[in-house]
Parts: sequence; C-alpha cells; structure tokens
Amino acid sequence: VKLGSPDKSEKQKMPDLQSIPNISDLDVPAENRARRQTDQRWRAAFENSGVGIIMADLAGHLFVANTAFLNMLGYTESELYQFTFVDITYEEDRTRNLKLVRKLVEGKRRHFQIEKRYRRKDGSLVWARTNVALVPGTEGAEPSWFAIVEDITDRKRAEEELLTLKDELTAELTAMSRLHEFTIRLLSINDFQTLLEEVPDATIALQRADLGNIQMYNAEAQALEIIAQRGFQKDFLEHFRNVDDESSACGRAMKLQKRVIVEDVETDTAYAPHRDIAASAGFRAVQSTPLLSRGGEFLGVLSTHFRRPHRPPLRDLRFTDLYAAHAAEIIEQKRLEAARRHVEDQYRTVVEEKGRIIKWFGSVVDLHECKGAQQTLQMMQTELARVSRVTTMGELAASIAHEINQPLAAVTNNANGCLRLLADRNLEPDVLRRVLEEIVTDSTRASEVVARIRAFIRKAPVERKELDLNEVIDQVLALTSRELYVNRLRLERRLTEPLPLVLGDRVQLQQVLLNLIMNSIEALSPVSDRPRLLVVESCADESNNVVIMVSDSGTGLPLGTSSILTPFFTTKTNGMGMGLSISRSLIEGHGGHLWAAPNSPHGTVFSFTLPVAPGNLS
Amino acid sequence: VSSAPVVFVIDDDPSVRSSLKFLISTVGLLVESFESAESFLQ
Repeated sequence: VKLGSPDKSEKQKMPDLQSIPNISDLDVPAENRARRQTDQRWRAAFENSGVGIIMADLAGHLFVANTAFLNMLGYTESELYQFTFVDITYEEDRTRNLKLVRKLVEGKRRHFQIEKRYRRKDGSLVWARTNVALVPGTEGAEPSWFAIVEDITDRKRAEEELLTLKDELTAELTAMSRLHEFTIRLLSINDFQTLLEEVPDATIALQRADLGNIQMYNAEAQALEIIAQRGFQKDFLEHFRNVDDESSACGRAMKLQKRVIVEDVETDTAYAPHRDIAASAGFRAVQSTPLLSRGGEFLGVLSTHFRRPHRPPLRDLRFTDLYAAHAAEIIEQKRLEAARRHVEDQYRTVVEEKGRIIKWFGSVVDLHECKGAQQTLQMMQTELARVSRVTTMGELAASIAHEINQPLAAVTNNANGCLRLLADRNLEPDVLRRVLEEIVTDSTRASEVVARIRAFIRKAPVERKELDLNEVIDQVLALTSRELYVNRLRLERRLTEPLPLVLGDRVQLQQVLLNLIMNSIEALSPVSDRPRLLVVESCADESNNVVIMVSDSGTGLPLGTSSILTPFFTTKTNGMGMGLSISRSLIEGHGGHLWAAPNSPHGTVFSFTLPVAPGNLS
Repeated sequence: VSSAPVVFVIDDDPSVRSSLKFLISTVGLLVESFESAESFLQ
C-alpha cells in the first residue's frame, strides 16, 4: 500500500529507508551490487515522489524528509530535523493526531490516516492527508514512525467553498421562507400601521440588524418623517423627526433615490452631526433603502441599524429590496385609503343633509377599485367638486325655502287678518294701513331673496364650449353604472352618432343628465311587475336642435306633469323639489327647453333640447 | 288678573310674529308675542 509497493516482501524492506540519509556518500561497498541498486532505486523514488515522505523516531523527532515534504512546509532538512511531528502540526489538530498515534503504540492498529493541517515555516497552513505507520525495529535500527503526506489544500479549499455555498444556500432559503411567512402575515393584517410596523421587524430579522425604521416622504415639507420603528428611544425619534438634508444615510437615500450604506458612522465624515445620537441609540452602521412606488415615485426610506460597523451582504440587500417593495406598496395603499376616506368624510356630511346624493356618490367609490391610485384620486377630487356644486345648489334651495317662506307666511297672515277685519267691517284706517305696509315690506323682502339668488346663479362661472352630448351622456352613465347594477335596471342607450355639437357648460349639463337619470332610477326601483327599463336617447331634430330623452318604465307622475318642473314640487319624501326646477333653469340658460311627459304604457319621459352650436348647423 | 284667554306667539322672525299677532287679534283674542322661548319664560 505504501509507496505504491504492491507486495509484502518489498514492503518489509522499508526500514532500509532510515539508512538513506546515512548513505549520502557514494562509496557504497561494491560487494552487494544488487542491494546497492535496490537502495538507489528506493532513494530515487523517495526523492522524486510527488507526495511527502517523512520518518520520525518514537519520540516524534523527524529524521527523514523528502524534497516534496520540505517544499510543502518550506523548511530545509536541517531546520526540519529540529522539530517533532507534533511541533509542525497545526495546534488545533494535534490532539486528534496524538489520539491516533496512541492507538498505534497500544497495538490496536497498524496504521492510520488523518487529514490535518501543518504549519509552514512562513506561518501559513497546509492541509494534508497523512498516512502513518509504525515501523517495527530491525537489527541496528530502532522502531520508527513512517508517514506519507499528500497536500490536499486545493481539495480542502474546494470543500470549504462548497460548505460556504451550502451555508449561503441555506441562508437564501431561510430568507426566502421568512419573506414567504412575512407575505402571508401581511395578507392577514388589514390595519396599515400594523402592516408597516411588520416591515422593520422583518428586515431586522433578515439582516440580523439591531434597530430599524421606516420614514415616509412628506412632499409638502420635502422631508422624511418616521412612521414605523423598532428599538429607538425618544431622543433619536426627536433628532430625526424631519430629515431634509444629506448628512444622514436616509437623507442621502432620499436625494440619490438609491440605497446608501454607512459602514461605520465614526469614520463617515458626512455623518458627523449624528454621531452622538447614534452612540446613544447604540448603532455604528446604517443602511437606508429607498421605497419607490410601482410608478417610480419616491415614497420613503427603509433603514436598518447595526451595533457594530457592518456592511450587509448582497443577498440580504437583495431581499431587503423585496421588503422595501412591500413597504412601498403599503404606503401607497395607505395614502390612497387616506384620500378616499377624506373624500368619503366630506361625502358623509353631504349625505346627512341631502339623502339623494348618497347613491350617486357610491358609484364614485367603486371606480377607485379599478383605476390607478393617482388617477382615482384625481377623479375623486373632480367628483367631489361636482358634488359640492350640486350640494351648493341643494343648500341654496333649502335656504331659498326658508328665506322666502318667512315673508310669505307673514304676508299670508296679514292678508288673512285684513280679510277678517273686512268681514267684521272693522275698518280702522290706521290699523289697515300699518298691516298693508307690512305686506308690502314682506313681499319686497321675498322678491329681494329671489333677486339675490338670481344674481348668485348668474355669478356662477359658466363655461361654454363645443360639446358632444353623447360624451356627456356616457360620462354620466359611467357615474351611475353602479346604481343601474345595484337596482338591476336594464339600460338602453340609443345614441345617434355623430351628434352635432352644442355650446354648453359640461358640468351643468352633466348635472342635468345626472338629475334626470337619478330621477328615473328612483322611479324604477319600486317596480317589480315589469322590466325596469331606462332608455337614454340622443338625436338631432329638423330645427337645428339636439334632443336628449331620458325615459323610464317607472311609477310615473301621480299629478299633472306641469307642476313637476316648478320649484319645491316633489313626489319624494326626502326630496327638495329643486332638482328638476334647477335643471330646467340650466337648460333654459343654454337656450334650450326641458319638459316632462308620461311614457306609454308606464313611466315618464324627460326631454330637453339644446341648439346646435354655430358652425355645426346643418 | 283677567280670565280672558291669552294667546302667546313665539317666533324669531319679526314679520311672522307681528303678522300672527295681528291675525289672532282680528278674531278677538288677546295676544302677547315673544322673540324666543327664553324671553317668554321670563
């Protein structure tokens, strides 16, 4: 086995090797030529062997070593022979080595193999596989240790690399399963703040960091504000309450919109103003990862902090990006929700006063679910403006009712009183004059109210533009689509295309259409014995008018149709009776007409005409 | 003081108040009017 010797007889010659250093002179006795030749062959094999070969006495002192071994450790022969094999064995491997040696001494084994490290002359280590045998003594030769030493540093390095790779893979898998758990947990949490606070925790666990926080970008202040954190005290939170410069890691991440790592706050020059607070918070290193929306908008920063100088490995940073993406998503949703709630709050106050608008607004909330955040926000703001305009009209109507009712009630009372006095023939001129004067005053007061309202309506900004009424119809139908769906109404859209353009105020005409369509929807909702059909038609007539008709198969009008267009007429328990009246004013303000007629066999048709815009005349 | 019935009119609108007072007085009742519930109670 040893030295590649295949059979026992040759192996038994091995003890001869110990004489090799002693036969360095070439005047070997010639009487035994054969023996000398064998010795020379052994010597050549010994010297030319690629593996190291050594011998040591039983005390461990080395006395034979070939070139391969000397090269392996970097010693000369004389240097090496000052040592025992224990001396040149790496400290940590000695105990293991000696245990095996003892087994040989005790006769339990004939030889052993060990993978161990030798200490080279320059102090570095070399991995070697060493086969050791105890060579029995012969005449004139003490028993000795014989060892063949193979350099396996390359293999060991490969093994270590494999182990590192395995560790990395394990870490990667652990990180992935953590991320997975985190994602699952996020799905089960509805509250945004709780969600946000999960992110620093998860990132700290991932990076084995000690502290962490999330800052949200406040666009108005152009500064970062801490919205979630783990492990910080009041003084730190106060110090970093508003970050708007580039001295801190998070501030730099905000300016660069890139990740910033401060490996050691003590050596990072720019970080100087924050060193004291870092020391009291107990961190030396920081990483700040920017939070970007899907559209690339900067939303904030996710930071983690380490007690010791540190640079997180690439893998951790890669996973940090995923946590950052989660955080960005949460912040985006949070902002959207806040905007929605803001709009809803205003909407609720509207609803408390004016029941009718409820349903209409419900459809706006629905749009939010299918549109992008920014877009939805904008749409909601537009709708809010529209609601407030409609509401102003409604509030105006309420105010009109009171302001006009009071003087009219006084006039009625006074007139009735006069009639009574007349009936009693109680004609005191002074009394009558006083009362009649009051009647005049109150009537004037009532007409002044009307004049004020007229002035107000005239003052409302009106924008006249060329409009395609089909477009206006579709916009309003989109707004009411949820109402149609919820009330299970069938909509027939009979629009003539192309329709001549009209001059008009888009918002006012939308209000009119919205009003008519909502009226029809309300008239249809109690219907259960026939199809609930809503028809919206557009066409041009022969006298250069565009005609729009909204008809329903609803309950119809219980009274003569003429009164429904007058102010304060209503068939609804919660209506002001102003909608149709205002609608008619608006249409007449556009030079058109609005009227209502019974539909056949059920329901009502509301129609209005608007003159075709000059330049579009047929 | 007097057993004749009295009608108390309470309304914050002076026109309404005075016109009601006049109307009720035309049927021969005594009327006293007040601007508010507080002033009536006092």
